[in-house]
Amino acid sequence: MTPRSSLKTVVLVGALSVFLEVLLRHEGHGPWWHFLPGFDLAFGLIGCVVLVLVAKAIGQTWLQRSETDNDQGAM
Amino acid sequence: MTIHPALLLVFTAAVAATIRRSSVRSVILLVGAVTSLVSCVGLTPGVALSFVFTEHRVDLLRVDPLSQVFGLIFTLITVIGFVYALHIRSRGEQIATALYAAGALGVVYAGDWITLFVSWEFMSMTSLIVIWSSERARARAAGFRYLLVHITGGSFLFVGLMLLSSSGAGLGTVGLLEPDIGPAFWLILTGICINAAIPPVHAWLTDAYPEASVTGMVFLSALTTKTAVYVLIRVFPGTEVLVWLGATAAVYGAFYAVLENDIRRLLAYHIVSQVGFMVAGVGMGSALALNGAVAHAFSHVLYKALLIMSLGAVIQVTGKRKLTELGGVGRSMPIVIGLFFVGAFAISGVPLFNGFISKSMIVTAATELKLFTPELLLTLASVGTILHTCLKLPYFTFFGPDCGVRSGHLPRNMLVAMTIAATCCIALGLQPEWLYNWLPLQPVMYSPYTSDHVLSSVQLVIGTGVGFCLLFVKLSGTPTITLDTDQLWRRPVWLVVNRLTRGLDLVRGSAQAVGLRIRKTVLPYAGNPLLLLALSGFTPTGFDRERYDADRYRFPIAVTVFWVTAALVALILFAWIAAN
Repeated sequence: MTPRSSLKTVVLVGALSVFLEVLLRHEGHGPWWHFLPGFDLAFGLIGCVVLVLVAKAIGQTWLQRSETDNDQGAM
Repeated sequence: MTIHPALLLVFTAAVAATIRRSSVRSVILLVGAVTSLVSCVGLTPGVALSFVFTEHRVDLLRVDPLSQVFGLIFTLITVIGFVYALHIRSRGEQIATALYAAGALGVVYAGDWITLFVSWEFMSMTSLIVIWSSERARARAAGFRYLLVHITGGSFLFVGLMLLSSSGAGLGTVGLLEPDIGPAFWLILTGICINAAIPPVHAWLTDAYPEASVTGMVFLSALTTKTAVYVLIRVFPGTEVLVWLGATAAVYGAFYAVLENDIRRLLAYHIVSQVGFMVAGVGMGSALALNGAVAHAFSHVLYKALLIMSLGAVIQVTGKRKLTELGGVGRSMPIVIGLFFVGAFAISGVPLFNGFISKSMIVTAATELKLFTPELLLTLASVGTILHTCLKLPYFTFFGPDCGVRSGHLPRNMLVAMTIAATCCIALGLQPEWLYNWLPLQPVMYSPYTSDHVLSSVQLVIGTGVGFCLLFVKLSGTPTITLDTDQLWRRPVWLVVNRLTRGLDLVRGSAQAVGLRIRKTVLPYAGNPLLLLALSGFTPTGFDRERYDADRYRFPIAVTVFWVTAALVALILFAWIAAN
């Protein structure tokens, strides 16, 4: 399976899940986003992008050091 | 007859310690762990082992539904861990792991605070030996830091218990505490939170666990933090601050995992993240949330052990543990890949695996309690978990560009242990009732396999998968280390220790100088005692300041013999006269 066909399969399953969500929607308690079709799909994508970009930005600015940095002067 | 499962482990550890052959030791410890598991399953609710010690009732073995479920998972993982470690030769590690598991069981079955505290500290000390057993310089240094943090945590707990005792509440039954008891509540909570590795007091875990041996980390990942979760469930259910601490921890662990290049540290950050789910569940305090926290602890022990064992197998056969050094090793390890994915799907909450049936309980409880921000934070942490364990780790370890590392022989027992753990993960995912029937708050009114839950999980996985494809390049490992909160205290503590040792060095130097001076003054008189007489103005005949001839002033030996004999005769005469 090539990366392109894998991506197609993933998109197809995602679309099917949204369709099923609309089809099986039920009334219940909870915030509005629980009743928004495809919310978790979008949350997964956006959450992943935000997590990676924010972590990389903060990490490269403040947190990451070269592996050769030793612990001299620290316990 | 009721036998404490922990005492069985201590007994087998003592027997194994006397055995020379490592393979025989391993088998004895495995038999001990299986016996302990059987004993644990056979326990019935109530207090079985107790005695009175200086007016204090010590309950060594108190069994209730909560301790039963934690006892079951701890003994089960001990069995799996010993199967995984059947091939190891280190006597110290083998014995320390058995005692460590015994300490964790001691906490779980402790009926009173004193038993809990003693078992707690015993667990900390034996886990330290497990860390040191890897015999690497990094493990030694990390072990000392681990020791320092756990001494601090233990001190918080100890002072809290003293305050609790002096407040009149006593150190009897380990049970629910309320904030109105004052500082004791917060001190005990802090002590437990340090062991639960809740940020910002979590760095000991990501620092020390990855430095343990491949086999040692399986036990470490399962016992210490889950023991702390157990105590939180028993003592602090519904403490609101835990909701926020837990939800933050869940995201924090996922955040740091993005930056990690070391596969074991990456998994360690996911321990922090997953424990965050449990802690949040404890803070919510509803029946569903507390059952969810227990169920998630149970599931977590299994799937996290499976992940650590799978990556431990990679480290065992390649000797590498960094993403930048690995890649393409999966071609020669197809079974390990399959088993790894069972753990990855489970931790990610994919339907049909045990993580799904437990994690969804906590998230649903947050929704029911209208805790929407924590709910979103926990969902974001789930995204991070899917990203790292289902996508980043397997891709860059097993499938990525071949970095030329060739794998060696993998002991069969390691595969057997992983298979047992994987079977448990799938079985509980397919039959949630098997776990739900053990949960402490019955009946469990929760069904994980609803269309909402299943579709939500599937969509999260797909959305994260698309995100991974988009940011694929950014996620590859970089040869860096990541600073964490321990940097805030490591340098100051080093400076304090350095200053203190410098001060002590100064005192030692001064004492040495004084000692040398005294020696220089006294030594001539020891060599020539007549100098002392000369000081008072008396100089015996033949006195020479520079030279002292001891034979010249010594009594002849015959004179000494004469006086000793005379004294003895006098003594005998005196005794004879006194007797008549």
